[in-house]
Amino acid sequence: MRRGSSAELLSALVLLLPLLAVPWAFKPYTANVLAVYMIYGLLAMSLGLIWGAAGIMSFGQTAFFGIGAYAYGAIGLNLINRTQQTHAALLGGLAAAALLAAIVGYFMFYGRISDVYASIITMALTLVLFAFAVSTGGDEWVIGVARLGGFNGMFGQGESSQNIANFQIPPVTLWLPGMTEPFAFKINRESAAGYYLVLGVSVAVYVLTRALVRSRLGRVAVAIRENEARVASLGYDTRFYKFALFTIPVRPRLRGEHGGLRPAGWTREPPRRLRRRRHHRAPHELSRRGRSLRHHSPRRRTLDHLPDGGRPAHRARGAAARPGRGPGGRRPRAQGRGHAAALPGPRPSPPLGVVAALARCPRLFRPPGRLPAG
Amino acid sequence: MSLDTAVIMVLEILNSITILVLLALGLALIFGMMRIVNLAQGEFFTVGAFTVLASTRYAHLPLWVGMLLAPLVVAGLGIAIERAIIRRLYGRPLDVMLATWGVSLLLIGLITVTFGAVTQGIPFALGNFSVGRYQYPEYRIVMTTVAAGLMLSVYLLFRYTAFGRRARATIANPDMASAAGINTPRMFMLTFGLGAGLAGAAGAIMAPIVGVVPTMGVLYIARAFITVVVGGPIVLLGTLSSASALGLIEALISHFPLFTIATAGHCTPPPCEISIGGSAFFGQIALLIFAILLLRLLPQGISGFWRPRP
Repeated sequence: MRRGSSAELLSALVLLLPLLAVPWAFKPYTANVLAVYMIYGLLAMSLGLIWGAAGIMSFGQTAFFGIGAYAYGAIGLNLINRTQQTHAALLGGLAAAALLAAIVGYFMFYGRISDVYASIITMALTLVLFAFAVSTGGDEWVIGVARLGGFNGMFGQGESSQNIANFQIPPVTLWLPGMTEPFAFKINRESAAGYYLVLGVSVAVYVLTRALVRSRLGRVAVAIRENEARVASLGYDTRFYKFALFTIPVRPRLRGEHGGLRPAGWTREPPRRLRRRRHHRAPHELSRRGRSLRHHSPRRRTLDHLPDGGRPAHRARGAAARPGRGPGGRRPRAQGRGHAAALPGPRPSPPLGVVAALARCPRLFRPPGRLPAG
Repeated sequence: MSLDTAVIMVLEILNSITILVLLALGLALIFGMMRIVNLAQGEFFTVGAFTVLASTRYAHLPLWVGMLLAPLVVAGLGIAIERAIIRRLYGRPLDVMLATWGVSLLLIGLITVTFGAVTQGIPFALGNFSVGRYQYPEYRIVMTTVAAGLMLSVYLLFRYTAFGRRARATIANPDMASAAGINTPRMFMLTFGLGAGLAGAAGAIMAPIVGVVPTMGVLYIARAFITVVVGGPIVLLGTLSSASALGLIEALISHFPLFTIATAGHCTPPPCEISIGGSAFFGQIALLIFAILLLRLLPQGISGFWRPRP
């Protein structure tokens, strides 16, 4: 394990060096084009985490991406002239995306909606948010000074409309204690600062995501992907793990951050970003980036903390022959094959819901000793 | 509320339910019964609408001929896609999802290249009838009738004919059906084709009342899926009941403004406020939220409540 890990670290460093040199070797413009692709790479990493590790195909990533960007834009436009920096906007972008994911994730995973249904709900969420963003073109759609702007995207409507800077979403700007003046990570023809920011965030997010997949949370997530019924019967609350991975730890941060980074280079915030079509890039990007998130989760090690070595139920059926298998390699879980089905585990029964529970009440009050008719 | 307003409101609710039934009927077969997550369903709908457009505008056929042609064209397309792609992917739900997504993008591209990315309208001849102070288009009544007819015939087809029995047997247990002498690949193909044809019919019927544009499918596919998901395991009746519940919510929120939020924009005329409710868009949002809440309470969908799965 150690050797594999250091080899991976080495190859990551070798890949990183040419990326560091890009702004010198080419024009800053080239670097900034690359930065946009790296931001999509972040989007793909978030999909790699939720789809690759936890096995939940989420069409909602672009929705969170867009929400992060809109929140960054709205907060940034309102505060940049007062505070000269965008710290609050960055955090707000993260928080907004995480909040949306928490709400949707709660309803999906605590409702025990099956995976396919979860995909569909996230898809519907993305489409509805896109429709919402497009329909906000009117003058009344304003957050402070930030106009939502409908199909054309977000812009500011400053009181003194002469100052053109009022109209653009500000680039990521830091003004930390000890700095004499704020520093803006502009993405333009002269400066590659924005590129380095994106690169740095990509590296940081990659490291964090790797750490997350290797953590207890990540390993349980992979186990759930492999066989949810089995993990549940071992006493893990699978709902919580799915929910947590969907929401809290790193993923919203990914989403928020690239959402937040993107406007740095773009003057406007087109809702096209929310659109379903953008999605087809994320899976491709994922395969282009070598499925790095999936490769290093060999099932043996992953399941080691489970009793009896956690031998996967599907092993005999060729699953083990394909380590790091593609997204389609997942079979519907709890299929009744392998010994997962044989385990008489105390699988919690799905919630019936208020209505059904109420409908059951008369049965509870039936006098004992009388058999129901028929 | 005066009587004529109430009648119009009832008609509007009926119209919402009609549209959801039309959208969801084909998907109820493909997704509800066959469990194929067909993301190209919206494009089947689009192709149906464009068949009507092409046959009326370019081939100068009467409107009803185009509307009869559309399901056949789309069923053919669906069968071709099933033979070429989906047949190889049964039992691999996520791969089907990605493959049909690719088909969806391809179809949007092909239609855009052929017809252009502009929104086109299809003129139709029916007029309005009056309810008290209001006028209401007769065509919507025709739509409701056709939707009810389609729903009923699909139900009768699957309930009482030999084809329906074979199709249900194939879907319930392909191996056993095959052992009993049913040509299961053919049944899968025909069921998928039927589902596609129903989507084509829906597109054709709705073509005169919506703008016909290559990306129109995207507007409807989410609602179609949501309706089938909320419907639950008893596919046709579940779809009908979820379409009724969701259509009611959608129509009510679409027509009654709930409250307004004042904003700091520079509007002309001055009162700058966002009205929550009272537009078709908020109807759709309410539909989605209601569907998510309903699935939290009834994870198996509405019909799962009638007959809980073991």
